[in-house]
Amino acid sequence: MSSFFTADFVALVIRVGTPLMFCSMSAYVAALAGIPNIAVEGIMLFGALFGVYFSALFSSAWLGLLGVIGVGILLALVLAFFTMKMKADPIMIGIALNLFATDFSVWLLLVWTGSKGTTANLPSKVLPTVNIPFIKDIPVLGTILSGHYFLTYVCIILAILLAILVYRTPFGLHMQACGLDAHAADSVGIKVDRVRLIAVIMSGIFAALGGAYLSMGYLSIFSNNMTASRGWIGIAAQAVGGGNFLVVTLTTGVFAIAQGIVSKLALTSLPSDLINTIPYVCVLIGLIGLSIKEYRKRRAR
Amino acid sequence: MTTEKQKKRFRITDEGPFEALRIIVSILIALVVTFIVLCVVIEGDTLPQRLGNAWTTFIALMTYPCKNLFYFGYVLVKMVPLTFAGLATLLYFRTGLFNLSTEGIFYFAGVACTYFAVSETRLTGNGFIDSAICILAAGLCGGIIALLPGVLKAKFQADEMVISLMMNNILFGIGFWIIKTYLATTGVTGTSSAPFVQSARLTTIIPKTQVHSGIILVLIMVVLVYILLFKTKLGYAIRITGLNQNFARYSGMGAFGLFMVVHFLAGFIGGMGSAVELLGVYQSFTWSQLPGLGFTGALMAMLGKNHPIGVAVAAFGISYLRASAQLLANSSPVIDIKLVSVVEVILTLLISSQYFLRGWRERQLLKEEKI
Amino acid sequence: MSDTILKLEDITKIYPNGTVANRNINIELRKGEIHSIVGENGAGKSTLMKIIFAIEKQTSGKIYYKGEEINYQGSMEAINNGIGMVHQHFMLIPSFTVAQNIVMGAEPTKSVFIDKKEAVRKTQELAHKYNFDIDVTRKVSSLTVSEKQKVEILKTLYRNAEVIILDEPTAVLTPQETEALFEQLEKFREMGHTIVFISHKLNEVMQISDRITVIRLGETKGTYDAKDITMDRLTELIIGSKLEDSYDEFKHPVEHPELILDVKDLHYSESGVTKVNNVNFSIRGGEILGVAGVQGNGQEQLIKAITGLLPFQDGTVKLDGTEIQGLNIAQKRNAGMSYIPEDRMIDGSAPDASIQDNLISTCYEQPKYSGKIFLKQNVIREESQQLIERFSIKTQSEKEKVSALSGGNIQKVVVAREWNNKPKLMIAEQPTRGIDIGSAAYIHHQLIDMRNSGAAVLLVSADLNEVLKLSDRLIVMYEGEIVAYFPSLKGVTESQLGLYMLGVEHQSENEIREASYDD
Repeated sequence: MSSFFTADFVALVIRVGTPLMFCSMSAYVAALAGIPNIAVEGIMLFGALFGVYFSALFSSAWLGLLGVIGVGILLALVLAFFTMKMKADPIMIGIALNLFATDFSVWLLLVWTGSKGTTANLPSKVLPTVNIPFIKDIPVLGTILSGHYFLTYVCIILAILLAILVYRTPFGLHMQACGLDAHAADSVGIKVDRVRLIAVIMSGIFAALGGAYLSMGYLSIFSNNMTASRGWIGIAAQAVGGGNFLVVTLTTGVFAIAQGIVSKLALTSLPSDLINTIPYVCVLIGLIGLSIKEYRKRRAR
Repeated sequence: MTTEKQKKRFRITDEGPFEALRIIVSILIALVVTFIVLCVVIEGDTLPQRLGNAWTTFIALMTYPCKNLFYFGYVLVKMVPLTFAGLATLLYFRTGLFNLSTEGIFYFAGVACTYFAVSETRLTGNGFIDSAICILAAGLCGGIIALLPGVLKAKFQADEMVISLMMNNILFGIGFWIIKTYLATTGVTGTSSAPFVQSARLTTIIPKTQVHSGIILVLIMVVLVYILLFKTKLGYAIRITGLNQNFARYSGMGAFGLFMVVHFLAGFIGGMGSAVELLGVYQSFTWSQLPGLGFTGALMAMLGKNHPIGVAVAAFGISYLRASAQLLANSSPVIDIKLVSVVEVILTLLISSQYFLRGWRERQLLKEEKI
Repeated sequence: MSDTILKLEDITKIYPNGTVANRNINIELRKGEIHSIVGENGAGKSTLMKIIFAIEKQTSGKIYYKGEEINYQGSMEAINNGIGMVHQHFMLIPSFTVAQNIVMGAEPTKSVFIDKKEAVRKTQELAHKYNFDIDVTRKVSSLTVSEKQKVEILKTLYRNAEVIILDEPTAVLTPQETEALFEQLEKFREMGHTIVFISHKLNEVMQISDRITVIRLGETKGTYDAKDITMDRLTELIIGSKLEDSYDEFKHPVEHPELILDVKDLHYSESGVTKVNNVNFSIRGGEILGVAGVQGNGQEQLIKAITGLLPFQDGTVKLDGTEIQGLNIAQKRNAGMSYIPEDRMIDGSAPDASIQDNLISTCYEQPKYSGKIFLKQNVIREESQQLIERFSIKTQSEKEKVSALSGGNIQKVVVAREWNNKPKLMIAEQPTRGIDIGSAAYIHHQLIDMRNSGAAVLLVSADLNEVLKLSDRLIVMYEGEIVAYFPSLKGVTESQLGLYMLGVEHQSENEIREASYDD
């Protein structure tokens, strides 16, 4: 067992944890402002697909990434418009967008490549791996900190910026207020719709970047249904942590470790289908534990 | 009184007609967008040529299932699982529960059905009894699985949506493993189960089509759910609890028992739907990922306004397009069943929008007010 | 009219569902006046204020502010231009501090970050300037109701409000707190602020206002100088007819009354905080026992403990001689308890269900209305129609949604349902809050009818006038305990009750114990 938690394993956890963290941030920021975004999975899938498509189209990974951000914003705008301007149920919109993403991405695959499987025949580009000078040469630390995909570092920076934004700036206070009591926020002239719009756009960008990470780094192609329910894990992390970003991050960390263990075990002869359920079982147990705890708290009163 | 008589007059701005108008306009917009998507991707050198090709394809998409009985039967076949899933989800929604576990239940109950359907020793050889055994097994399996989020919700007020989503992935993992490990043909490694025993499969009821007896079952279920919701004490409690749980509690309705019953029923209907789909359409269990029927069921419940008949109508409409697209897939490079997702998403977005066309209605009302 | 600060011209508001909330409203507000807007609940006062504050948009009509026509796109613009509003339901975020709540939306910053120290300093200074004694670093969740209201007022002052709209500000205050608020408002007037005071309590309106505008059924019925108009005339303008003063003439004694409700040593605490302590009282059939007290002194918890919505820790509750602690809500109802809850929209009805569905929710399991599985649709429909007629609920049909009714009619639906159970014990909690005077009087008569036919009525109301008019006996609650008991209400005055309600006075234990009938 001791051979399990090596520097390599930590690096693996970071690698598999990055898309999960993008998802958690996506779910967190939208819910914080009061619009639950359960379309994380769908936006991520489109992010992954369009990353491949745009990078092949422009022959540039960076322009591809820009396209991904554009797609994320676009889908976020759809969610925002229908939930805020048209007063539709955000959950319903989320389900619809997820189903749309699952099906329409396959159709686009078919139109672009003639097959429904992968984009293997598109000349797509990947984002670089970053080796940090000096640090990469330090044993253990170098393995852990250096040599990750570009978007991993973006993810870490965005997480720190998000924490500062939420807890230190007026806009962060406004987001919290909009999520806690939109009427109260509105009554002091906070433009609830605008705050929420921005939060949802951030949410869309985070989710789309999570997708780009999968198809433009982690792998270099898009394949049918490649997000494999990662988006739902982000939503679960948000459900556990609520408005507390630290708890959301820590929860995501636990899921990432579970996912890391899955990746390790996948190499053994254990049945992969069962092992794949480990992160979800973790989430389920976490959620059940949380609700029992809250139930006890209510009972104790 | 004369004023009362005037109010009985038909007005498009009244709740019923206005709702119908909203749905019709939504459908029109969805179809127009589909046409535009076709225009973008269709082959053709000049614009008129493109438009012409797109139009031909579009018309084909709209009318193809009406071409002959076989095609139309295909629509009915497609409609069966969507209606089952829609009815299951409708029960949750009506009780005020956002439970999406029908997706996972469809998968896992299918495994339970397969457990019986692949083995002659577990069956009798009688077609009716064998189908019934498999369908009941799947239904019970679905109902029992659904009790887990049910208990958590009823006892601990756990967030049923996230829990049901996690359950979907877990059920898939375990189900797929069971299929591959225990229910596949001995000695063959693959992703599908052994073939179903013929006596378990549902019989075709309209000659020269694929329409199987499941369509009768689903129509019976639509009626039963309708009666349950609107004619029985249980249905009354479901509706009141769904509209205002505080009020239900204040009135003395017990939430725990109700939640358990609703979860079991919804799980049962979902499980039934899964078995009917497998035994009616498939030769063996071949789902290597979640079939997406549970989530589509949520859309059906929404599009059908949480009304059993509405669900059946919505399922028919979506199935019509899905069947048409699938039948046309070989004749056109840009048509695929997945294209129908455009219609589905637009319909869902617009119909779930409370404010859709509201401005127009307001202006109409204002005009009337001024008169 | 150079001193006009805000002028409404022909304001009409029609809601999407066709409800006309305001029709051709004309009001002028002068600088430095206290201007009351009075009218029954549902008359359209709140909608009008929301239009001024740009939360709602008028369907037609114009608003002039300081001589210029304004067309604000949101409350932000109204606030920035010096219009502030203290809402009836507080717009505060409980998990934020007082300072955070006050500066929210206009935070002092240091570069891009919130300057927390400056926020505290500024709000503290503001509180001192206006004589509000409040610690701005406390969380709002730990404040009392009147402190929360002060925070709301500070919020408007922080934004330099010239016109301050107060929507039913005294509804949640004790008489003494109301006095303090009025002194404060008069100070604001001297400083040049314009106060818009919305209320349906006429004596307060007469006391504080310079001018009064009456709104009835969405239309203005004129603006009057407070000194030129009498209370009677004002009442007439508001409701269109005079109302009766006492119900004594309608009450009949009941022969051989039985003991119906007996509460002994009731104790309830929440998160370790005692909410109801050592409460003893009993009610006989043919009696109305009133419970007076400032809101938040345990009345709500007392009712919920008796009805079973909250589990109490200690004590016994006997209904008609039977211990009911272990029973669930349905069993308590079967034992003869009916309950008109405080909030008709949250507990008292399912607004999106039909009137018929709302009328049977507490009785649908009785053999009269259903078999083992099915509902008896015809019986239910006929009975619903009868109830609608008997309680003169204004509606087209029993199939109409409750949400389409007015507040008074919704409350009538609630009362009709509870009445229909033929209760031995009727618990009425704020039975006429926020409804029109006509419906209120009607509901009062229903309660008296039930009393006359032998039911025990437990009445809780924040409206002292209502308690005094209806009750045969009265208890006063303060901080979860009974502090006074009046076996008869002859000669008891509002101000006398006020002293007990505020904890200034306290009867002896022996006097209070009289609230229980000891055999």
